[in-house]
Amino acid sequence: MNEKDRGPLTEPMFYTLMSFLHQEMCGIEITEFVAQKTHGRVLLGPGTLYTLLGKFQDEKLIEETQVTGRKCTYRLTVTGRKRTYRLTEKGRKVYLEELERLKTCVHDGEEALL
Amino acid sequence: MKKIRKILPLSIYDIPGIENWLEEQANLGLFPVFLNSWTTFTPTGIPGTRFRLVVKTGKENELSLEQQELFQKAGWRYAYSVSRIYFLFYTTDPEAAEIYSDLESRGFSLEPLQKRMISCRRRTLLLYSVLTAAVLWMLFFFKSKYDVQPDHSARFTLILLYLFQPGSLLVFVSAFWLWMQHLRDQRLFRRIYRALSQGMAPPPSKGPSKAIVRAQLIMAALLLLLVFSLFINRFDILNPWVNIPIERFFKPYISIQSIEHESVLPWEELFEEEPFGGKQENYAEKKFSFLAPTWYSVTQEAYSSQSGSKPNYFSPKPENGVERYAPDLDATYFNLLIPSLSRPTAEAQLDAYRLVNLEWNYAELSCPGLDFAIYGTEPDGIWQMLAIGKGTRVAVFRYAGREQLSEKLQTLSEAVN
Repeated sequence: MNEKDRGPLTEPMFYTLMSFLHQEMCGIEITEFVAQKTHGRVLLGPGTLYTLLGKFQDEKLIEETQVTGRKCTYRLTVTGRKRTYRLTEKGRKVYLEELERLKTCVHDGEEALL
Repeated sequence: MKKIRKILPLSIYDIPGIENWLEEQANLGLFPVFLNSWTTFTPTGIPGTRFRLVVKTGKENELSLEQQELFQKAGWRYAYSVSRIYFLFYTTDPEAAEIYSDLESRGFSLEPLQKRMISCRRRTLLLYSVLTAAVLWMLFFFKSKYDVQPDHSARFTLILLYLFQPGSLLVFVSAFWLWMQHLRDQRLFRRIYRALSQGMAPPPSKGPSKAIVRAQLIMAALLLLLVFSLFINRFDILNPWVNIPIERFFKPYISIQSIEHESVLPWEELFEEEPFGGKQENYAEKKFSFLAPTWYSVTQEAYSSQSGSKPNYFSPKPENGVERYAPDLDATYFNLLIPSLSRPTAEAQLDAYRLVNLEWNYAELSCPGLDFAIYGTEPDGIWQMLAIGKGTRVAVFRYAGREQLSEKLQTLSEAVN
């Protein structure tokens, strides 16, 4: 799916972007952050996490900052390496837009109850 | 350890179907140690095991340790890489959370595969277009610098006969079948991808299909046949249909002696030894096409029993200063399925026999009892060609010798009667 037709962020997407707001994170830290933040309500599966990280990187919402560990030169792989990411300006903008949309939803929902 | 092999009864792109099937196998006590069209199991499966296929992003061939650690933490173990498409994970823990927390993210995870499929389709189309263009150019536009009388459409009928040979049909049927299967797989994958990307459950898999198993078996058989026929064609010595010694060939043909005034004999009979280099000079070759159920050619070369008197360039004093007369007759005989193909086939075979560096003249001869007789001559008068046809039978001759084929029509017409 392209950036243009992405539409609203899904819950795992929203929380993954949220995890980068204040610091750089690696995969395991993101999972822990989301579980902690949502008190276990949103559990990021490893498949979901790596799909979202790949997607966000493609859309330039996050960028890789650090790769620790040794690169195995005898393989076409980066086995053993740990990757850390940070939010880009574009990513922050997307997060804030989604936050605004959610606030409007909540406001509309509450207003409807009155 | 004992290994059990099963044919994957599902499309390789039916992700939910494969996962369910592997889980059914685990309930039977089988664990997949190799997953592909032909899957291998060991009897180490644990009932209740869940399997998940994760599409490769295309950037990595193996999972990084960090990824493996994260999957392990979530209760999933990495099994292995499945061809170039998936990573296989499994868990025996019923409490382990799903690898994908939501349907959308699973849909997004299929994006790389969707892109690869589109790019593969483009590459395949490009490859087939280039191949088709190359073949068409070779057939209809290529001009040899030695060919003084090119006619690009002349051999079309002969090409048609070759296309209807079992080997060619086998290649086309296999390619068409593979293409149909590929299209079916692509449609299935697109449906799964679209549904998941929109946050909907994927369409339910139709489950294991006997038709897919049958298709795999037929495909394997076709492939074996294809390899076998290519092997046979590559090595003439193994092919019982080529280089058949003429004394062991029992289909009717016009013998070279029957058109010669003087007595001629094969080399072996005359000199009681093999020709130079052991090269066979009198042999037949059988072919088969569904458009020409009877199709064979006979090559004959004979030598006069009398020595000649003319020295030649290569041997100024051959056989003590004399040259021997040695006529040559090549002939191809057809019995076609469709009568209207007779004349075009004759013309095509004439073109195939044509010596390209010579200028040929063609004339129609009339002969009672024949539908047509086309006589080809070249200025030096050494080589002659004759094509005759009657109904579905066609015979085409190429001759080098002293006789005039136009005067031998009566004898030669026996080939089509």
